[in-house]
Amino acid sequence: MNVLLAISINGVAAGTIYALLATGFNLLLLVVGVIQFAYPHLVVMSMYILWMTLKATGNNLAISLPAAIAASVGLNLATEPMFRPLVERRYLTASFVLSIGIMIAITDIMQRQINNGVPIGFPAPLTSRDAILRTGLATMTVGQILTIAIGIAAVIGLWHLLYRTQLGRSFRAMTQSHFTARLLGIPVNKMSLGIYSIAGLLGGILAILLAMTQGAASAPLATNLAIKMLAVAIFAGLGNLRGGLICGMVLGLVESYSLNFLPGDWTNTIALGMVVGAVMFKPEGVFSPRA
Amino acid sequence: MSLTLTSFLQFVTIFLLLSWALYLVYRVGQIYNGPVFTMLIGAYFSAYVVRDLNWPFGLALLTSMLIGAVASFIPALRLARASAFATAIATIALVFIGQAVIRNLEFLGGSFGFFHIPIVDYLLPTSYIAVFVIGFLIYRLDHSRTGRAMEMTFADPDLAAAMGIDIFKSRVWLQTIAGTLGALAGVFYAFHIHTIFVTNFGLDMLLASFCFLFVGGYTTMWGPVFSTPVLWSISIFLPAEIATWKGAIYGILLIAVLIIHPNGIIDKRLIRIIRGKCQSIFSRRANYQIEEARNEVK
Amino acid sequence: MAKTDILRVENVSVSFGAVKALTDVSLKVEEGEIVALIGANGAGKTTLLETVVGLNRVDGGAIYFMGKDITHMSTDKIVASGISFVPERRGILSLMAVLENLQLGNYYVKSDVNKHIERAFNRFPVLDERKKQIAGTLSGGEQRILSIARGAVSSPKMIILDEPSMGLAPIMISNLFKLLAEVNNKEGCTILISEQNARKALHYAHRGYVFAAGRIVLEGTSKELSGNPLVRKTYLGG
Repeated sequence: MNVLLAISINGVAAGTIYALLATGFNLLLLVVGVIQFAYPHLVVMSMYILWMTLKATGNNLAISLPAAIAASVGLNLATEPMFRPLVERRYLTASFVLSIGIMIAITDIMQRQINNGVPIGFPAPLTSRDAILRTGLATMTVGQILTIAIGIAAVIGLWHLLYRTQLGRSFRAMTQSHFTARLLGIPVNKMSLGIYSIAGLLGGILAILLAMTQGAASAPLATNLAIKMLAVAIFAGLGNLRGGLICGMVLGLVESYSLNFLPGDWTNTIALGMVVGAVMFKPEGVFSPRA
Repeated sequence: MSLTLTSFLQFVTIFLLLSWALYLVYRVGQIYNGPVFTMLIGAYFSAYVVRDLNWPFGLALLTSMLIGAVASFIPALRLARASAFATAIATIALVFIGQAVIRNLEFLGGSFGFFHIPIVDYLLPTSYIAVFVIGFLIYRLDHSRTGRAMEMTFADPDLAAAMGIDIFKSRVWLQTIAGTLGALAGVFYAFHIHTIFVTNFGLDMLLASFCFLFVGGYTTMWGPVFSTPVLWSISIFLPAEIATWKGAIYGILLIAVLIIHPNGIIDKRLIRIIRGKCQSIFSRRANYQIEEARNEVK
Repeated sequence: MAKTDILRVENVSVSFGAVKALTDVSLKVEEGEIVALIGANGAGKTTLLETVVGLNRVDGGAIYFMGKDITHMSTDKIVASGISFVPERRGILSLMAVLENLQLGNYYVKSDVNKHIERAFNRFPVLDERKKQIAGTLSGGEQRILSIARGAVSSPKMIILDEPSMGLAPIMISNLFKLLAEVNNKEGCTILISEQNARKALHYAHRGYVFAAGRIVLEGTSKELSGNPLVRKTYLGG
């Protein structure tokens, strides 16, 4: 029983990360109209910045954690001028290719320029690997519990913003038509910057949670997250916020169970197989679109 | 020929084939990463049959292409109906699934890699002949009625359908051709570097082929012909301090091209201008010769 | 009532690439008026309306709203200064609820949002019954009413409507114009409207302008225009 509980908590913690990633990605897709495949790369880059500030300040969390969030917001905002010409011309496919350019550049910087390309490891105060519960292969750490709690808080906060406030209504108006939003007097460009900032804030939180649960970061982590994020987003139906949350959670759970009950390194394969199946047999995603 | 130059020339053919494969399917509105998947299959299959089963290289090459064709044809029957991004992610997923399968196959070296792939004579000439033949075929396709109509699919699928293009069918065929080209690239790759790892055929390969296609220009087949040698030479001919930033340079180039000139460096307009220049030079020369001939007659 | 120009368009020209869409167009709208723009499809009515709210780049000329130059202002600022635009199509946010559509019409009204919406529901009871419904599931006529209600909800100084009767049944068209006259009468809201149904438009409007090929070819009070033989022949069917 304890085993199952621990495995489930592992899965929910991983699922929370995927769900938040997919949410950030979907927000950018829906409101601004870009396919930001490199979103996880910006998250992992923020983890590198977190690591560097930790090093520079002698593991001062009070400085480093806000620095990581600020870095994430900054990185996301910095992509806005790159995407803007494509958004104005409605080149959605081109935005995907552009994000691949961002991916290539960031991967290279992580692989060659920082820490001699060696994966970075986060120090003890952040990663407290003390298991609260340990049964067989499955463990449950403070980081995981915090991940789940913060993830739920972030989702509640975001949903309140989107569905209960005038600002959120304006964002949702933009998801349907920039033209109509403009006619309603919504300052579309300013609002886009707002969404980049929100995605950045979410990314900064993700960077801290990932540092806590993974304890390390590298270019392959970013790649892995990018594939999972796009998988979740496509499986749920591109731009489906609720679907993204559910599918992210399901992916985390499926991975966690297969990791514990299946031999070899087939964990990723199952998730990816689900994606191939979904694309082939349900190309529009499992959930129907809604604003 | 120096080793560096040989390697440069060989990699140009490999990435040219990959970029062309991406180009062929992109024109019918899909981002298709299947070539990297069939590249993995082609590389491992040909390496295995030549090293362990003593097949002749030529047979291995042709069989690999056939397997590549089949391995892309079957998923294409479904993928041909999917959207651009769904295709992109599903084919990336195929790449990773392929990697996981091979990692679990002991006789292919698993995650330790496949070593001692035999040296093949005339690999470089063979690959150049292949590139020229394939280039010629793509040129013919581009300038055929079918090819022109297919191009419509990218801008306006409905118009293309009205012109009698079966989008589904053309996607299936182009994906199959792309997969075949990928397998061919895989064979050249395996027999050029002699030791292959599953991780060679992953996202890096894919990102590079994206970069070559979109920086060079995706609207004509000449885009990758221009960009592949130029971009690949960054790591070889530039000083080490700059070459170490190769990936960052690729990425920034790709971003810059998309912002400034989204069609890529070589586009249809440029090709038309170049062709016009060439024709005017030739016609001037021809006029001159006619003039001379007239003078002689006089 | 002291009549002042609320909107002045002076010698405005707009072109899309090589095509001249508007040439040297001048018109004015006085406070409290209903002004109709009539003319055939493609005569430049929609282009002019979109230009007023900053959707097109102006090549020459100037536009003043309540004495302020708005020629090169961004759409959101123009809307904030008190012009509502009700577009011909694409108007409503079809995936959001009726209530949310109305709330967004109030983007720039900071105070008493609920009071404004309450008033809109009183005037358009059909929307009150369906406020929780997703707007895309309303009938065509109801959607048009929603977009007009949304245009009026923030009590703007002026409402601009582009072809409001397009695609509606005759009975709906009459209702719609009655509603517009009511908004104009009771709230003193100035209305600028483009309309292919010239008969209806001139019946309700105070003045009108006739567009052809991107120019204004005639102007006058509704009575004058209705009596003009050219207008009668071309737009009123004899």
